[in-house]
Amino acid sequence: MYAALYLPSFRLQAALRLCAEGLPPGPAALVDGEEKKGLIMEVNAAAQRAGVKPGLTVPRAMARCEKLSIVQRDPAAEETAHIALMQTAYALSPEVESTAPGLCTLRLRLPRGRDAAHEGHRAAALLEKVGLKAQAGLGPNPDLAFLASRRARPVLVVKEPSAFLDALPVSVLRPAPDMVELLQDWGIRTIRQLRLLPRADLVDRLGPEAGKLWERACGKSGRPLHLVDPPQEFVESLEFEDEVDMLEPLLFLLRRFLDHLTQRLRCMGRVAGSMTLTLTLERDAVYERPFSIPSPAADPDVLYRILFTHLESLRLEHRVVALALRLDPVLPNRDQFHLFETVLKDPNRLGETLGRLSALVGMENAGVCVRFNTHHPDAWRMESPQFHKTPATGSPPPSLTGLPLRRYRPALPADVKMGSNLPERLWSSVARGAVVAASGPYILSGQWWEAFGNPSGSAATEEDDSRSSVKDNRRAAATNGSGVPAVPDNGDTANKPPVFGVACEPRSGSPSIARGERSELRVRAPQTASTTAWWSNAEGAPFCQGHHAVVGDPYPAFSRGSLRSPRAIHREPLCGSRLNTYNSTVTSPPRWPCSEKNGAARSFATRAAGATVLPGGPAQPQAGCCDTAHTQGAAATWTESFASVPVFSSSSPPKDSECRARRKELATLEAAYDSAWSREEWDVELENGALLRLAHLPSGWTIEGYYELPAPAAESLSGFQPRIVS
Amino acid sequence: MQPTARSRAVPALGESDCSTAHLSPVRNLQGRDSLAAGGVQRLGELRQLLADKFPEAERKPQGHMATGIESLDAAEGGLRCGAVTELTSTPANGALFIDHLLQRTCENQSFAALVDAGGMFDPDSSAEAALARLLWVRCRDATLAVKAADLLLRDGNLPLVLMDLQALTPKELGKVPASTWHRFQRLVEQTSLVLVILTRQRTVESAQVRITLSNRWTLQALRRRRAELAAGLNARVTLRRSAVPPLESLTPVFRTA
Repeated sequence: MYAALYLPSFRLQAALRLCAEGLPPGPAALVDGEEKKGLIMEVNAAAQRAGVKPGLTVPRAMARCEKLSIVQRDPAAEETAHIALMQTAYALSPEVESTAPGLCTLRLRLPRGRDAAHEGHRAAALLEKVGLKAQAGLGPNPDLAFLASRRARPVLVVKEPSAFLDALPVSVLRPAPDMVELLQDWGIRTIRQLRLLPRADLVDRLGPEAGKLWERACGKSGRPLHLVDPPQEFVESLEFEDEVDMLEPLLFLLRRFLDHLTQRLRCMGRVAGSMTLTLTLERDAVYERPFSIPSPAADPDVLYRILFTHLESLRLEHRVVALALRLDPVLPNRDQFHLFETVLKDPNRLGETLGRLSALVGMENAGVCVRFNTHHPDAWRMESPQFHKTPATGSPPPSLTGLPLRRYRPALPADVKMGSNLPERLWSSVARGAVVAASGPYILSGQWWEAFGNPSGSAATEEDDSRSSVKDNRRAAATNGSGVPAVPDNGDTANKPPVFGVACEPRSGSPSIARGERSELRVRAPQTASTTAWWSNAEGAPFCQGHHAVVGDPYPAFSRGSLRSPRAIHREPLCGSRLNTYNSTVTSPPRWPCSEKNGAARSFATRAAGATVLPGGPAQPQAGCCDTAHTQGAAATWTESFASVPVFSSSSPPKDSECRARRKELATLEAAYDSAWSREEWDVELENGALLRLAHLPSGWTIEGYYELPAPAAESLSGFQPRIVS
Repeated sequence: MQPTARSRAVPALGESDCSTAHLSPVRNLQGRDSLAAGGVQRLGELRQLLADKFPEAERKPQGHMATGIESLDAAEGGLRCGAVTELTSTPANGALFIDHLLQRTCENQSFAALVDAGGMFDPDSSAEAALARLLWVRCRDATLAVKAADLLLRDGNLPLVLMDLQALTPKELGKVPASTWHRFQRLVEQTSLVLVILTRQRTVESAQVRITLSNRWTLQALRRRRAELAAGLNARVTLRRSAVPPLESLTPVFRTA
């Protein structure tokens, strides 16, 4: 059994399908706006009754029917309507042929006892849901099905082909024009008259074409269908005649779009995984907004709520001139959850709630927090939650150390009086008083290595870059533990521990050296000092045994500089500069305890050979630095096993060309240092019980947050003004 | 003289009015008992009538969510589902409590929402696995926090909603109408959600359970494992309201000894 789904006045229907007022009940006619002289192309039944026929000019048609509505042809709408026809036909049978615009033929394989007319009515009902009026003809072959569809109101099943064909004129078989004239001359006007003629004699006189025509007249012709897959395209669009500046018309049309599109999705056995709303605005502006549907669905109510939630808080600068909605089809999701897995009751409702929350507090303030791959404090971004896709974690989360912090954003300014290497007193707007205990400093710096053009030794791969905009190590190896100055005071470095190069390994992944690549890490080091460098992997075991730490001299005039202010380094004169590379063989790599909190063993650290390193021993309670164990352990090994490596030695001054090249290079470095950062952090306990985290930045002291903060006496803290730290 | 409407509405001393008969001091004790029993019976009928008329409003028996904090689980059985729980504590205890609940949420492979009034939650202080299961809503003031919590409670997808108001001053908290907390209680009791409101001092009058954490911390606490700190939290239940008392437990008001 074959079925033909025919859309009468297809082009007119397509043009009127998405009109806000729907199909007009009155007479309507279609004209082609591209042609200079507009002729009526198609008319509806009402216009036909009024005497309007295709081929008339518009004035003549209007003269015959005053209430005639003239509709412009819309090729895009025709294409969309034909796709909708194909997709709806797919609900009846997978064997679908796109016969002509507005016509498709399909092969039905009906089960025993199933009424063919029922399928025809079902097809007509489905097409009506997508805004198309169809006629369905069913017959034993495609040609008969097509003929039946032209005469169906709305469904016609041909059970007796000869009885159906007898009353039809020969012209419905679409013979060649000259053959029609000849047959009319012979007095052959109906198919029955043609069928009564002997086939052999007909072929002798009119040729083989007449034989095929005779077979069609007998209802015996058959042809294979040219099967096609319906396009997986679910788009509805409309261009407004007048600009729209209100929400209601948009919502009205979007609801209609969704009704049509979800109906087509259901016919194809798909659901919407995401959708995209496109609003074309005045002055060629376009607003496009993709929506991710948490739980893919083909329910128009669910999708409409998502759109409505977004649009009700949307403010556009221009009026809307066109509207388009695209649904991306996916297969329905059928998940098998674990026995004890908690799932969301209604992911789509949660998505809707998230939309409302975003409208309430802003998109940047509601969502799931994702930290950057960095140790930079407070480096995170907010993402839209995908709870329904959150994988079940097999192991419990790792246990952390210490109390959680409550962080000020931005940090509060403070004044701190330093005692002998420890904060002694604090003034701020939230707390003030004597410091009874302190822990630190936790020395942090980051992104300074970007001045070297993403050195491979820092293991900052492109993948890491894509995940993180900040690279740093936090509380890394280079600290002197107790805060004692480690190099002789040369003015700039007074009371500051000499932190030379704290390079990094991102939290995840291995450095490139582990993959056998060349490991190069350029280390800031004094010009005449000796420097020792070492690597370690994430487990704390050095992996560069027998390899080299390539130590360079990017700061040629750093013999008296300080790393407290990286920019100051570049202000030094460039004479005597030269980039050298030395190799050092690590003979006995150190093993030091890995502090869980600081992740120190992941880092690369260098120290000036002249640095004073504390001997091993018990941690200093008043320092309380979590890096103490690491530093002391490392120091003990270092002093025993590592040899000093000369960093720079130049017997002759550099050439001018070399100096120019270095100036250019350093200009690049200086630009990169704009994003570099460094700080010291302290945890302090005040006499009133407050537990605070302080940060010492180049601009001064700040309170980063608090662990514990008794309610402050407002009168005692009023009027605080931070000092300007030079 | 014809009595006026006013004089009819207020019966004179010694007169008997059927609507106020049980208030009369001259009724005998037996009569009081029977009237009180009848009142309880009518209350039961009224409840049945309301349950028939509004089946969606029928309160379901709720359970408890174990927290893993020994003192709290022993006293209350955990956090009560379908009820507003107010937790009053210092900021350190509050933050530790939040972090511990997030850890439990992660272990249970569940989800939670944190309405953070003041936006002082620090992601660096929590495990990444716990952050992946947390919906964090940062609100700059109490008004936004109340609206956000209202949306989350009406949504009902996330079984644990934490509302952290400890960063707000009492003056800011005072701007929240008391009816808000009652509305929250009405919203929560229709569901099995756990709503915990963290404050510095007693604020939520309609709370069904009020818990106080009274630990004091020094700098040494920053070196101890957080699981140990959380296990050592000293929780004390200072208020415990039952949701709906069963009819059998109702004592007739006018029964005498």
